[in-house]
Amino acid sequence: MNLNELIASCKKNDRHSQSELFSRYKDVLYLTSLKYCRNEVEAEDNLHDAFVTIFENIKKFNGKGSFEGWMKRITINKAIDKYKEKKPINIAINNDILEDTNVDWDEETISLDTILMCIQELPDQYRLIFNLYQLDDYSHKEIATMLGISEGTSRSNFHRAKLALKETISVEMANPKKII
Amino acid sequence: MEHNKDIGDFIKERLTTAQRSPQVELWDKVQHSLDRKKRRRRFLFFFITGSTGIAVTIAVLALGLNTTASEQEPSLINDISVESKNSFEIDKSNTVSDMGTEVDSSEVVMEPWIEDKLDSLLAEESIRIEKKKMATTSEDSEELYKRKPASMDSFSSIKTTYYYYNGKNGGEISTTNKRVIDSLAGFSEVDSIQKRTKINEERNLNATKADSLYK
Repeated sequence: MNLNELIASCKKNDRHSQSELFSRYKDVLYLTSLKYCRNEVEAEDNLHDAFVTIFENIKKFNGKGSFEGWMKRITINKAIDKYKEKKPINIAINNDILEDTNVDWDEETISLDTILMCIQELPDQYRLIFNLYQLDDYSHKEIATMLGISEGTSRSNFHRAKLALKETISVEMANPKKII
Repeated sequence: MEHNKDIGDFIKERLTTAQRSPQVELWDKVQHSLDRKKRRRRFLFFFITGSTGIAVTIAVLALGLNTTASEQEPSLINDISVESKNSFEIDKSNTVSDMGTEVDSSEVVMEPWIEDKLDSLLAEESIRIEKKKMATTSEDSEELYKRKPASMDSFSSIKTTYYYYNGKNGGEISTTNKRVIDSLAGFSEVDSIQKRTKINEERNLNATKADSLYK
């Protein structure tokens, strides 16, 4: 069954096709959830909510653009909604931070789990901005609109997120933790 | 091997090739949630349609009751008129005797002009009764509806009807105005009493004269 047929079947609420679609995209969307959430449990919850929304709104997908991109946007929006539900922690912003974020990396010693853990340990707003700008190619203007902040805040938070990541990963490289 | 790279670019590179799988039970959870939402939507649909149906049924029933009530009103009027008729008959048998104004027509001697007046009254009354009967038996519900207040009045305050029977010509007069009967009966009685008194006085006078002559 090709993707268009699968989507058409899912629009008819065919449970078998829904299961097939879930199997195809669960890994990609789970990784997206892991980047945007604080831990695996939250990521699974987010993925669950995202898939429920995808199946309920699949009739609205008109076939224009990437279906995977459409599903990713739903997953990211779910994570942002959860962030907005919580009271955001006001972070003192210093716009003069211009430290170097380049560092020497030994790719062999840094595992994927470590990278994910470091991202998840970032403050919520930093994590969202870093993911949106660095990993999902949103502009600062778009991020500012999505999160209800100014573009300047988005830029400075992104820079701070990178600094925080650099620091955390350096510590991890020096004293690697056993990730459960 | 170490590289000097921007941390953002480095993380992006690593994550593009990465793969992670959620727990196997996640699909069951998603399926359960979809079923639950489907049931909720179905319940909401039935609840809304059901409540709308009940509301419509109640409205229709309420309208139906109103219509039935308005349809029953004319028959109620008929019932009332029948009751009035019955009370009318009861009055006919009782009221006159109760009032003590029952008139023995054989004892009443009427003047010719009274008889004429009585005849004309009887004729008018019989016409009026006929008209009343016609109106009562009319099946025009609108007419009946219009007449409803009057009928209700007659029901709420039952009027005593008085009958006068003329033994000479077999005519009968019925009226709610007691004075008419009183005047008819009263006139005749007074008249006859006056006549009898005169006759008695004459008899007494004659007897006195005869006694005096005999003496």
